[in-house]
Amino acid sequence: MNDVHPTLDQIVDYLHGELPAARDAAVHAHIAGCSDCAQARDAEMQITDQLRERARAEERELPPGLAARIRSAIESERSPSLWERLSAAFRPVALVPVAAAIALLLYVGFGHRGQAVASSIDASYYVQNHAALAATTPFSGEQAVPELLTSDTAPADEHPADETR
Amino acid sequence: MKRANALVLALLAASLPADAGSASTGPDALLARAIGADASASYTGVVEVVRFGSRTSEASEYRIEHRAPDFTRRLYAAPSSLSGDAVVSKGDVSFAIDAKRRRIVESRNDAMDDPFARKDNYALLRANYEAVGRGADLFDGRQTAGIALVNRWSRRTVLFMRVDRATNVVLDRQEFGPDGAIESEVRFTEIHYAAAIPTSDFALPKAYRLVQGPTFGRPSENAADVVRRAGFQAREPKALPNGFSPVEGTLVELKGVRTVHLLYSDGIRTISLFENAKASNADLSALRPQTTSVAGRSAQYAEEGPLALLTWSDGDLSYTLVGEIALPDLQRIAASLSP
Repeated sequence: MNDVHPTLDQIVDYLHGELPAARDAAVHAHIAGCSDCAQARDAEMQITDQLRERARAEERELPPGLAARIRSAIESERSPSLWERLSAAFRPVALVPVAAAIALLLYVGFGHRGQAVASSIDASYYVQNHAALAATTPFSGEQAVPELLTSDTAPADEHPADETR
Repeated sequence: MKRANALVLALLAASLPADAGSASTGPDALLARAIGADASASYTGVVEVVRFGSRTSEASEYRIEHRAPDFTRRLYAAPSSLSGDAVVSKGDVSFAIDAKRRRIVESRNDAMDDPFARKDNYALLRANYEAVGRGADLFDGRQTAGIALVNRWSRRTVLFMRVDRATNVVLDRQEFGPDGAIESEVRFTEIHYAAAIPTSDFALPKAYRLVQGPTFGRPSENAADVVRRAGFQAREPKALPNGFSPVEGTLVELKGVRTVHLLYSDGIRTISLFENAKASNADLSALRPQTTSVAGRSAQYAEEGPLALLTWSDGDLSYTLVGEIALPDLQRIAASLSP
């Protein structure tokens, strides 16, 4: 056993598998022979479990469309300049908590307001609905490649039944 | 259109040449028989479909088995991504058999059962197109008669077909764009007519899981009614290309967004107008869209095969037009929606 006790931070990192391999092995060996450190690890594990349980209880689905909006916002961003890229490299430490707070606000905001608004609707929805309604036209053009055979997604989820007609 | 435009159609029909449809051997009579041929002829064969777009084209080949009146199986041989897949349809229900994902997708389109829409569309076709005989031809060993459908407004041939003399089944169909370029072709080869095809030929594989696909309800109202029921200030276009009339209207939920869907047709070509009150434009990114404008507002335009899509927002409503017409026509319809 290594006689040097790991710090509490190191025990936390150890529990989360975030230590380098050599340090991880050393902490593991130390805890196996040190009841004080084993107790600290157990206490930390309990706290982690409680936090996870609480998080699971309060877990909610992200509002539909939020991920798509974030993706589309990222995609629509212009290419940053060299200076912006350099300064961005130093930004994450400060921005992560800010981004987390914004995401939480968005999440909670949408949770209270109910159904979210989709920012865009895939063109295939329009093409399919057009083809369905136009099917009664004589000689209506058939698709060379039927979309239902090419889509990877679960069709009913992606193209919900039209219930309002 | 069923009710509101019945009079217009009657007037248009009255303007047809006196001999239209009167001779049982003329192109009009042959056209009418060709439209209804599948209801009485059972057959097997091979079909090639090609659709040309200005940027991309797509093609497929499938083996077809059709049992009159409405039982059909298409077994795909090409492209390779569809090889082994099949679509079995009976009336308004179809099953897409996806061999790669080992699933069967069931979908339903109640519009297929709408005899009024079929009748209205046929009336529009007769009003807007002149059926012109294009002589006899031998196609894949069968005697065929050629019919061109010439648009009465532009005097251009929009559709050409070769009709089997013996059975009235359309063996070859070519569609042309406004510039005369061919937009799509459906060719039928190796056709064999059969008195009856056993039902077992249409059986679905039992080992595949059945999943529910889209359901398209039966449109039961005309466009004006749908616009009134939208729940937002939906609009109807003030301008349509020559010969186009409202055919159907329906309210749909597209990804949870209440959307008005209006269909306009000239009997062959169709245009859909979608409107919603959310900031939910069509995402055309997969179709490499171009930026254009509608009444001074930015719009996105894209093509998928012969279909053109135009989407824009006027601040209050989001609009998407889908149809087999050129961009300037789409822009004119779009501009006429401005308040």
